Amino acid sequence: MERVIFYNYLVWHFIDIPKKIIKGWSNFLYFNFNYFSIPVLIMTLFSHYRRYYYPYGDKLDPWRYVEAFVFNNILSRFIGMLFRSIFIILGLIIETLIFIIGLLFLLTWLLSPVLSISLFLFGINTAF
Amino acid sequence: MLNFDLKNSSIYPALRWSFYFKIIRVLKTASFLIFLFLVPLLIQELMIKGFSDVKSEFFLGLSAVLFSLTYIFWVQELFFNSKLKRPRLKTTIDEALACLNKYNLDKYNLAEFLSLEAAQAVDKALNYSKVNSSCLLYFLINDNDKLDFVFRRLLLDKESIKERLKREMGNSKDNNLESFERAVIYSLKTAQKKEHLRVEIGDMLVALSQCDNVFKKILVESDLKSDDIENLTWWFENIQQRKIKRRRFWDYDNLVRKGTLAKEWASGYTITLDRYSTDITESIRKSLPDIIGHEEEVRLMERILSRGQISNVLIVGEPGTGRKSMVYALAEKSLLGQGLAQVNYKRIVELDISSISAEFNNIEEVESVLNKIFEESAAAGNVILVINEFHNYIGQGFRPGILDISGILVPYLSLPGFQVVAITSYEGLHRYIEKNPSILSLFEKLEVSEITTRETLMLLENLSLVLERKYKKIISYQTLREIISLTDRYMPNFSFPEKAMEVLEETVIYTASAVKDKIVLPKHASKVISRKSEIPIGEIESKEREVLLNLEELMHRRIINQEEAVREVSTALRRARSDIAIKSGPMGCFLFLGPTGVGKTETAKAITEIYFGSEKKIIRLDMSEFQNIKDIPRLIGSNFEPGLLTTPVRENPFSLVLLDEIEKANLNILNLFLQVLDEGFLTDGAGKKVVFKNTIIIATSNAGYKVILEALKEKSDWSKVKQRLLDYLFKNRIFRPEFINRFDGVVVFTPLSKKNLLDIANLMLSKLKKNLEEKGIDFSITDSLKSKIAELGYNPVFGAREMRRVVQDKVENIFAEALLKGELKRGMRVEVNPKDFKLIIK
Repeated sequence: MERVIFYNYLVWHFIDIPKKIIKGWSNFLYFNFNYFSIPVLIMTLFSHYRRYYYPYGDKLDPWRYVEAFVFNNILSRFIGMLFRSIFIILGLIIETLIFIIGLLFLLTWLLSPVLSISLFLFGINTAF
Repeated sequence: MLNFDLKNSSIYPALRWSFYFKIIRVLKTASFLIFLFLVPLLIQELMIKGFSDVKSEFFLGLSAVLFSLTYIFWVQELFFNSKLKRPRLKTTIDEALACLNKYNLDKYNLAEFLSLEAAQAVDKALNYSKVNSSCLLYFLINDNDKLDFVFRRLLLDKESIKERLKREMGNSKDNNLESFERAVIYSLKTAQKKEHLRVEIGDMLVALSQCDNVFKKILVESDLKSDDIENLTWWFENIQQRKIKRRRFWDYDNLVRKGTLAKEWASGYTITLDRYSTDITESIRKSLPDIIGHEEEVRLMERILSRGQISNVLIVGEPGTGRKSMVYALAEKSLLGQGLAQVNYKRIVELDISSISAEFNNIEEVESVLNKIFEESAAAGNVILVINEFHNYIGQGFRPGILDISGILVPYLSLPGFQVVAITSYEGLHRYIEKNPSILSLFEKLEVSEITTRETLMLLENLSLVLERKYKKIISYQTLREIISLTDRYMPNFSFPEKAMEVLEETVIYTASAVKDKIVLPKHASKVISRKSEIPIGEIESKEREVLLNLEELMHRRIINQEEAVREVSTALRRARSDIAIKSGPMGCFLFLGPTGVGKTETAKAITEIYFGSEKKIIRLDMSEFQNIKDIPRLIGSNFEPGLLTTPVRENPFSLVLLDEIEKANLNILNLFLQVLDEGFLTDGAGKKVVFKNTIIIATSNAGYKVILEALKEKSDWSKVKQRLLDYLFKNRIFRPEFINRFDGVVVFTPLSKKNLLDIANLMLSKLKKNLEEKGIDFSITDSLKSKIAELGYNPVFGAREMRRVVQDKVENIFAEALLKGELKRGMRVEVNPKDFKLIIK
């Protein structure tokens, strides 16, 4: 029975829990992607900021056309792109951080039997 | 013989090692606490002496040892809880039970499906000297404090149950393996029903409540059933699951509640809308509500909102059926991204039209603001607008103080980015919205039904926890059960779950403020429902039995003769109220046939007084007023007038409906009563369901009274008269057989004999005598006076109807005059001369 328990422990430590860590890790990665709305921001990168749109009018009015196009619609799209780019970059930086932290956590878990025993032995040596 | 071998099951290692892991847990806590104690000392030493000092090294080393030990113990505990306690199952409970049903008993070891806690109870029971279900129950409740929740809510004393089980275990002489095996199989069936992977302690408790004789007896003594244990374990397991779910912060469902930072940038600003609205999505983000019921309707709502073209929903349902909670469910799905793609991550915003109309006096200004709001919603592209009580703003016309938004709304409703979820009632739909077909055609109707009593109980259980925290009270399970049963019975014109939820909250407030009891009990709930429904529930519950058993005697205090009528009414009422009747209609419905003035109406009044406590509880309709088909709206109401029948019944559901001279009503009107008599409800002119289940319906008719008189003249056998009378009614098409058959009893009232008339005269004069006694005057009623009153008061055509008037004119008047003149004084004894109706003072 003890051998069965030991075998179960190995399966649990090196297969079951890593699977769960990967699942939680991917949840964080996916959540961050969604939190910064990276796909939506990329898809709407050049869209008007907050749908802030100036109509060009029905009649041909060159000045109004220029005013709407240059001063308003282009500006709205530019501000939109600026904000979106900032958030996309910020989101990707945090995404990278989550990836690194997750990886470190997984490695620490996998190596934890060795690390904990080493720490124990180090403690014994140092204290006594 | 079942294949039940605990020692060869996969849970057995956990069972054997459970004690070791208990020690591990203690060691983990101890090493962690010592480590916490050492850390400040270590920091202090390091700061003062640095790393080179021996003492510092000792503290550092010891801290490292304790930290590593804490970690090792924690990992072991985690391993025990997540792996050893939950071994992988080779098959499912479904499969094992299917084999069992095919009498393939050996294929699976049923002990494999036990959870650790259940296995511990089974192990102890099997090692006890006499194995039976009672000892399994004993060890189950002895070792699992978690089950205290169930016993506490049921107001059961766990210790006394344990004592009783212990006595039972001591008394049993032999093993009762049969009862033990039955408990195992029932546990598996319960786990299968609840879709559990393995048998949890709650499943085993439910199973034992079904098969252990001692537990069954305890439950019967406490007026509880196995279903109650099942409900309680569901409640307990639901709380546990929610706690576990909340703790798992890394789950996507928990993470996604944080929302998004920038998704809204793709959508437009809604400045005006934000000012006059409540963001439902934002409010549920803070705490996700537990929504129960209406799953199918919510799915349908999602499908409608996902359509390409017209995607507006009109939720139609009675108030209190949980119409708004469906919107909350939609908002929750949308927030978590669990709905359809077109609905996910949208803002569900409830528009507050009343605050707009309150802020602006001018109707044009209100319309301009609304126009702006609709424009913003359409432009934003991520808003689903909710308009509650939609009928208040549609089809009302233009009058002072009335707002009709249909003209502004219609152009937006067909826009693809504009979505509305409007909420209305059936009355609102028929009365206002249907008048405007152009707006109705832009909505997809979604009808909401009442949720079941089981679902209501689940909602009450969740609400209980909130109320308990708020008012510092404990709500017993029986109170929840009582609230559902009483509101179902006495408040039929309101809908579940709201009526039950309101009553629960009021009951807790009542207990906290007026009674100041620690536990909320069923008696508190019945008091609150009594006050709300104006029905003396507590009194009825206790008095009712007495009244029902003595109905004949009580009725004969007011009704002379009419033995058959009194007997039939009494037996039918007893049958109806003992809940053994198969019929689902009113409490009782009777047709009283007989000549005029024989006591039909009086009997109805007597029943009302005896059963409902007051004659005021009678709803009397003269059916001769309903001779034409156009009188139907007067009877059942319409959008413009209340119904003479339906409105009083809705307001006073616990009353007697007296339909006088029913034969004079139009045949189509009689057809309306077929459903009332059969099913116990009627849909009124405004489309609302009116429930008659708490009413007694009595229809009276003197149609065919000549048949009775002839039969009396011929001295025919009375048992055949009723059939002759019914034949006459059918032959002359006065009533149709299907109408007559729906009554619980057709009672034929016999004409009054001379002796009956004397008794009635005596009854009336006795009332006068009683009144005079209060003034200290002794009125002696002579036989000759009774005979004279009977003679003057009886008419072969009108029966004894005139007798009351004769008593008034001939007797009461002379007493009144004499009292006013001062001729009658206290202590006098007086008689009335029947010849000239003058007072004889003695």
